[in-house]
Amino acid sequence: MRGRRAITDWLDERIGIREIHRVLFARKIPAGAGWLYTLGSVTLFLFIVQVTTGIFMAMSYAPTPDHAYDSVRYLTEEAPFGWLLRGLHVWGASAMLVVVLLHLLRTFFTGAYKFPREVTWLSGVVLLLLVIGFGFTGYLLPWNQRSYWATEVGTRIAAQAPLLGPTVARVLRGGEEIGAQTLTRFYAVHVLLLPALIIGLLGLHLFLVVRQGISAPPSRGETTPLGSDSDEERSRALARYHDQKEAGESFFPYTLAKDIAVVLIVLGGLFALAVFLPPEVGELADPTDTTFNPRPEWYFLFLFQLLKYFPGRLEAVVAILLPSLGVATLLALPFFDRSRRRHPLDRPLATGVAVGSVVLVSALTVAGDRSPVMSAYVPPAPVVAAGARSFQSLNCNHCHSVRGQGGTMGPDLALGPEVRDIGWMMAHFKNPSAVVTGPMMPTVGAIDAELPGLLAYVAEVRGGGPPSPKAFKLYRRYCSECHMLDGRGGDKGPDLSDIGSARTRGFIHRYTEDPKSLVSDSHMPAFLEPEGPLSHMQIEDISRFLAQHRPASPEAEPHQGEKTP
Amino acid sequence: MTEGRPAGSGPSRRRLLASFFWAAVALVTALIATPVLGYLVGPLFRRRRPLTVRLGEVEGLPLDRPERVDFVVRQRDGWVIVGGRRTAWVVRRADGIRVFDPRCTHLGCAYHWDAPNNRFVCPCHGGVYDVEGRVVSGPPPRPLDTYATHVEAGVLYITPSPQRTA
Repeated sequence: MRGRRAITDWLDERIGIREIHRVLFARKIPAGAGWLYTLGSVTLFLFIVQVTTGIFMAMSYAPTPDHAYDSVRYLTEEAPFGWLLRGLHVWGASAMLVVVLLHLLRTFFTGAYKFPREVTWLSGVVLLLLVIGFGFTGYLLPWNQRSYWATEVGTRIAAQAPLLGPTVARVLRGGEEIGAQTLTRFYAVHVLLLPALIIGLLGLHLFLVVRQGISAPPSRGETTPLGSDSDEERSRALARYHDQKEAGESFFPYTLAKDIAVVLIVLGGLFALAVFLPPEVGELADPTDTTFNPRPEWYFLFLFQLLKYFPGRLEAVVAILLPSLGVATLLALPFFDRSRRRHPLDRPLATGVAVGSVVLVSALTVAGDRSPVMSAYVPPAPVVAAGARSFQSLNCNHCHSVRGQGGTMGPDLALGPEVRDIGWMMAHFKNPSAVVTGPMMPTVGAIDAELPGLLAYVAEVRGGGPPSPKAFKLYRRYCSECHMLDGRGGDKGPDLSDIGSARTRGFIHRYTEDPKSLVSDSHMPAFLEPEGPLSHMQIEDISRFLAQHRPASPEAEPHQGEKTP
Repeated sequence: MTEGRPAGSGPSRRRLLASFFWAAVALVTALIATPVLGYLVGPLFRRRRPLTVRLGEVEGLPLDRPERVDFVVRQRDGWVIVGGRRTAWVVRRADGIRVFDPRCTHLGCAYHWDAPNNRFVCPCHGGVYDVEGRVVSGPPPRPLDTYATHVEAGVLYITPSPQRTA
């Protein structure tokens, strides 16, 4: 005990630790500040989670289009605990926005933004904008389809603003198009600029919270002076607050115990989400893709949905003017709100407008979430996508083509005569001359980690593996009533003779299971049990059969000589 | 919890809440530290699979005269697959083949074969090795490091990670 006292004395003389303790921890909090008053602390906690996980995620991240996606995949799938760091960070970002918005609503409904806490409110609104900025910039970093297209749309919305819009969009992108410069810009803003700004503002916000004290929960009929009221009225209000505060309990441990209890629940929720709903890595960004359905992150969904109602020129109004007006209203709120009342029921207009806005934004968000996707698309399995990338990087297309695209030295992989066994394929991926003789056989040199992807990719371009002998029978029984195949069958649905060149096995499978999940106005019934007659395996069989079907298969040409094992 | 005095007198409630607070802080810290520390020290527990590289046909190698052989190693480094050029000194003798790591065991300089004097010479600090990789003179603390080799169907394969020679 003696030693502890000596250390405290030593620190007190040098940094004033007793005063710090008195001001920060022993300060009183007005009675009645319930669980809703923990939201600010929870936000601060989530910020700490974001900073901590973010720092360590940055150790496995490469902010270049060549490597960003692969590094995120590496972090998520291979780096020890990387999946958990990313899961916490991604869900933490959403949680942060939710908690910040609830915190803002609590502050609004309790009239806590009024005298003398106007600057606390202002700094809070700017903090909200910074949090949104974090979300917008962080979203691009995985460089997957979702992030690429969300940024494409986001920067285009900025470009629609009158006068400076196009310039702003170019500054955001670092050029005309989204590319390497955009990614480094977003990365630097996300990990350097915004953290610097937010630390400063957070400092101000917290300083004001301590300096002005937590507002006492409002009671019916209670009034508070406007900033423009007389000195006398303002000091009377401050004195009354002082009494309320002194009647309360100290910050430590009473308020902090409540804060940390909520923090524990929120952190538990984040862990649960990271474990049970881990954020996906998605597919590599592809600017040439015309089938992807760009969807914004959930907190921009309301805007996304709203844009659908305002075509043409009005779009700029909605996309730019409405959010700007919203922000301006929030910033100006403590100054144009001339009501002296604080209790939400004493300010029916303000409360009504706020409740209305919340309901409207929620409804738009739900509608945006439920709105059907426009272009039907089923992404390939991650292992297939990885194989497609290895196929590119190993220059397989110098010799092989896939449906006519690529070289002609080797067989076309989609039309190849037969399926090889796995041992043959693995040997071929490492060194083709080990299994095939020929004058110009290159070494490929695939490494072991690339083999599963290549196998899966080659199987997928062939339609996911051989269909069973029953596939054609199944097709005839369930499909040919409506669909034509090589000139035979019904004509209610489209001719399927060439479906294999237009659609992947994955698409055919999903579409057959539940057509409306891909094309909302499809007339085809769902075929998956229990709605339909077919099992998952049977549909897979039909899908493979169709994906491999070619209208007029060219005779399999003999290729370079085979080595017999 | 918010209003009035709940059961229990003031000081004991205060003590209870304070203990709860510190316990919760410890728990939260431990929860967040788990992925962070796991991520940081994880590489310590990761084993690398040995890599085998095809160096060439044994017949093509000269007898008793070290030959520098370049080879390409394609391997994963985190999220990138790098194909790097590497080199090794191969000595084929009547009793077998030895492949030396191309760095001097003193401070890692690239040594070369001094054919007229029949020895390996390191240009940095004058380390000298004989054709077996044994130190003849100079500062090297141990013989040249070797790569594991195996010959299959007349083709020489190596595992290009240096091993100390006892």
